[in-house]
Amino acid sequence: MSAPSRPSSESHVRSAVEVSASPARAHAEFEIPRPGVGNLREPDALHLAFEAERLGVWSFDDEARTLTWSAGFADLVGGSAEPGSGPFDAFLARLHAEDRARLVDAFVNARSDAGPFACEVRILHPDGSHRWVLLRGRPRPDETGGGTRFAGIATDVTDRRRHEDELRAKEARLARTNELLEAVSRVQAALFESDFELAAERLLEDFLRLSGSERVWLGRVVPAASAPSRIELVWQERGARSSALVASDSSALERAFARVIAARVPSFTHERAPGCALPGLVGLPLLSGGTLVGVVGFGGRANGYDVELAAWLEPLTSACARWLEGRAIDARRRAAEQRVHESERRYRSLVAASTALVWSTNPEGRFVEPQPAWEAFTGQAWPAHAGTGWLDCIHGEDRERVRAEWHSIVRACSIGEVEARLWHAPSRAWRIVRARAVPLLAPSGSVERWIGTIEDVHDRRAAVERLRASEECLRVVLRATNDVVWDWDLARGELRWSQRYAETFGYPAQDLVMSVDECDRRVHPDDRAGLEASLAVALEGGDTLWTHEYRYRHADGSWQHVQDRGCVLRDETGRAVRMLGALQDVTRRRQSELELRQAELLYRGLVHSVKAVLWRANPRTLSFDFVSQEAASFGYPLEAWLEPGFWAAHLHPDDRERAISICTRATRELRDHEFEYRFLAADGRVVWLRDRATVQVEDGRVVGLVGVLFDITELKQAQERVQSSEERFRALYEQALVAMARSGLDGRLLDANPAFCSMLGYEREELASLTAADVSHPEDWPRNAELRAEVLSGARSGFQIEKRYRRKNGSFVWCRATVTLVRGARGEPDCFLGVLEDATERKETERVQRELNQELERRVQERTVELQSTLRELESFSYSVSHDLRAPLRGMDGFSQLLLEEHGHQLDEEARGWLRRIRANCASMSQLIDGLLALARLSRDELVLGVVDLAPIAREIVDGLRAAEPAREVELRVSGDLRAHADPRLMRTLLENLLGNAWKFSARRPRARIELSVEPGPTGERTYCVSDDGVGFDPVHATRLFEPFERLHSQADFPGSGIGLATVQRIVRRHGGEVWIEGAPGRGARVFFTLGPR
Amino acid sequence: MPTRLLLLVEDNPDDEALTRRALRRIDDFDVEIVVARDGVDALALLCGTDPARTLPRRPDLVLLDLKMPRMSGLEALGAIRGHSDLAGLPVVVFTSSAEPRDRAGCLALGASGFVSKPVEYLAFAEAVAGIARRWLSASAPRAAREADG
Repeated sequence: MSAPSRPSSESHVRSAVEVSASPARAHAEFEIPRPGVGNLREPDALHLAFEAERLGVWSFDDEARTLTWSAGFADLVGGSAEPGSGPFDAFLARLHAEDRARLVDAFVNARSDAGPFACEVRILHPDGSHRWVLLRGRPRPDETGGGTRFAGIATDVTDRRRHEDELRAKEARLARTNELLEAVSRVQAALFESDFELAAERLLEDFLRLSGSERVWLGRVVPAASAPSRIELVWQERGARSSALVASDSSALERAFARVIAARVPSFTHERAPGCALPGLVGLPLLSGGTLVGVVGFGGRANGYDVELAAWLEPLTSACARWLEGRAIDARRRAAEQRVHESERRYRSLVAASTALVWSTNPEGRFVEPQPAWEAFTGQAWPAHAGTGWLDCIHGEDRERVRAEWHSIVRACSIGEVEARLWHAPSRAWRIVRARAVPLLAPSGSVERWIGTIEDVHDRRAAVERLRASEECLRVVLRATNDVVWDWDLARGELRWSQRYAETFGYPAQDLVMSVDECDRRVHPDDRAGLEASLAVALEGGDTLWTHEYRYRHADGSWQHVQDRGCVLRDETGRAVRMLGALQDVTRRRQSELELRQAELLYRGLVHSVKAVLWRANPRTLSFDFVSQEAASFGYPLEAWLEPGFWAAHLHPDDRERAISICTRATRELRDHEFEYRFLAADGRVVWLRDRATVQVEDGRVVGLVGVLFDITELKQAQERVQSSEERFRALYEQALVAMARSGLDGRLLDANPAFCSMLGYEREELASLTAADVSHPEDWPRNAELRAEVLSGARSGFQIEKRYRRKNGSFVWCRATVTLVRGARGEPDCFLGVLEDATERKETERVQRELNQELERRVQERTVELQSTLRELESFSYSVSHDLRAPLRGMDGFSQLLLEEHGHQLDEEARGWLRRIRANCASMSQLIDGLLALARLSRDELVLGVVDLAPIAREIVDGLRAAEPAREVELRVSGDLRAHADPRLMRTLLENLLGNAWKFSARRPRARIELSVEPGPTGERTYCVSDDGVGFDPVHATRLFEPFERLHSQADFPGSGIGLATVQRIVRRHGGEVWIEGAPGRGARVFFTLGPR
Repeated sequence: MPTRLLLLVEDNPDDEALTRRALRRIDDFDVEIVVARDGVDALALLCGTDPARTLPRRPDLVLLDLKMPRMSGLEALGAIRGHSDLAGLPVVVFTSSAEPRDRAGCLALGASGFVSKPVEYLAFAEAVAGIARRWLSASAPRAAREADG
């Protein structure tokens, strides 16, 4: 309220606002040239801004009709971009003719209103283009009272205009699209009314309007039963509103349509439609499911119509196509109905003309009116046959069947037939009749009624039945013989076969008559010439009977061997006219002959290829009269075997008597026999033979002796080997000191050796009633059983197990058992053999050792726990130290400082010196605490190992030291591969301490040198070395240096906590390495360290 | 000059005196210091459970020592961070300890900052001043604003 008003400031603000809100006006006020001044003033900032905006500034002197313009204006108008002035009329001439009057009017109105004006005009450019320019301004009455002066600006609005035009065009298109949609809906409405004329009229009206064409037309393809189908055309002309239906042969049009469809071009022209003088038709095919159903088009435009228009009309044409299709379906349905009615008419006339028994029923198949024909045939009067009463006249055996069949015919509404026996009154007999029923359909498709006929087929059936019976007889007779009978008519060259032919050779049964040539083609090509020659001889020669064997082709392509026999019939002149014959399939006989031959060959081959001697011998003399070729393998020629007494002579002397007597006795007793003996081979070998002899007996008398000799020498030798092996095993088993036992697959103990018995304290006989499980510790048996099962399953061949065996006295003995599976002669599992080794002692040692280990482990555990708790205590101790020792130090330092700061002036220099000493002591104690804590942390923190390159770390540390003491000149030398496997953080601490020491103790050298290197140490490990050329030390104290708080130099000489090297040692030891130091007073120091065996 | 309220939780009167001294060096704003001797004391003040002794308003900063009788700084920090009414309260741990473990533990519990108390007084005073500038100056995040965030 009390704020002082500052009117001058306010008005200033307002005017600034107005200037920014209305640049045109502002510009006019600032820029209008003074009267008499031809050009605009020199451009100022605002002017430049306008120029940048492409604004043209102008002024117009009404009285002088002179226009003055700026450079921007000149640019807009299209002249040279220079400011200038000129007659207004010349400017007017540059405007579009339509705009001139408008501009003049705008000036006149503005002058009379004394208000602002705006007018948009087109300025024509020399190149024929034009630009839209918005001229805005306001009149300023001349102070002299003369004319009016206008001033204003001109803006290029061409782009805006263009956008507006485009917008208008789009709006127009939108309106047109809406119109089209309306048209579509109108047409659809018309189509729903199913009124072709109305729909066509509306459609054409819309087409006419939308296409802008002079003439439009609509055609539809009218399907016709016989080609060519017609096309109906309706057209309409602008103003004329005339329409007509044109019938035309559509083939020419359709070809044109087809071209249009194939090219997928929505246009079509047809110069001259037959029967219709429409020049230059342009059409769109109307397709429904790919089929042409019609065409819609335009005429009268110079170039047909454009594609865009066609796309536009697409919805209309497709609606039209659907509609036309609907019309076509209607037409087809009407045609179908008409055909049904025609058919029914024809049927009725047929019925009337027929003499057959005719009847009709209601849709349910029941007689509802008297059937005179029925009554005449059956004698059943009305109303006896009403409903289903007619069934009484059907033979009892057929009645139910007829009822069922009739029922299903009625249900199916289709034409049906029934055959049954019907009572025939005139002859008082059952007659077989066939009834046919036809449904008469109403236009709705439902059955109106049934019309039927009944035909007497009794006689026909009887005849057919008789024929069938006689044919059957014939068939039976023909079947009685296996021969294929044929009849060859020589005159006609025709061959007629009996039914058997089809069965024998697999040809179709109806294919029984053929030409001779055809028959010949089925004869094997190799046999054809022979057959022909043989037949020729038969036909020519006097022999009436003919026989020949040849191969004949079966339908499956195989060849059948046939034996053909025939006789020739001759006429009076002796000329052969006919030949009758029978053909026999001898394939099977041929086949068995062949098989017999092959069997013999096979037998022969077998006898001589078998790996045994087959023989036949005289039962009395025991001399061979046949031996197979294998006999030669004993080194004697086959002939020698056949010499009398060969067999007996070559028997081993020890076996001769026995062999002969076995053979002789068995033969006498007619007994087949098998025996083994030794035989002397030609090379002096003694071979073992097994002889299996069969006595051939006829009528109780020995007629022969046949047999087989097997060489079983190898078998005998193997048996011997087994025997000796068995004996050796037995000896080992019995006398061995190790326990052995055999158990069956079921676990039963089969036997055990004495060592086993004594180990377990059993008698041998006692063990026989026990199983392996009985002598095992119950805890060990399951595993043992499992292993046995694995062996039996083939997963392993044997196993070893350490288990406890139970002694008879109940105690246990630890054994190591090696168990193998013993297999029988054929490789089948027979039993398990276990070899036992007493493991009690070893087990005991193991147990003691285990217990010792456990004890040791327990102690380690205890010590670890103790150690951990000590560590924890230590940790909490050092934590307290760090906290509790620091606090008093801070107090001492703080208060000393405060005393110095605030009361220093009251103290003399000595007192102030003492305060400074207190502070220095605080500082060194604080360092000590920090060092101790760091040392403690070293032991505590976990080692994180990685590859560390010491070189960059060293450089970094020395750089830091240099930064703290820039005055010193120290050279750092780094050499060798300084990559180490270590904890990077600890390595940094280590180097900080070592390099810090080197730096510190070399302080008195004007140019000091520090070196970090690596070399193989005394034990071959990589040994790192940090050396300096500083003050050095007395080597006597070398070991003390690594103790905490050990210092060799006074604090005054070299300040320090004395725990740096202790820290280094702790780090090195944590890495498993060693650290040592060498040096001499005044000769510098060298610290060596390793980092463990890695 | 604006006045800031600092709750100093410190059992050691010497440290308290040194801290007060150090804060005197700040001349941008006045710092009003309320001292709590341990965690229990601090929580009672913060939660207003002791009618005999209350804070004029919520402090702008709590400077918390760790090793204290009755309730340690760590426990107090846990209690503050578990208290919904004290959400967003800046708590800076200021302790003699320089153990990385303590630092990690405090930050995990939600300390706004962790600063080791230097033994040397000038460094100590600088640390206190640094904390004050960081947490109490006009541009420092205000407790209320932190609570909003």
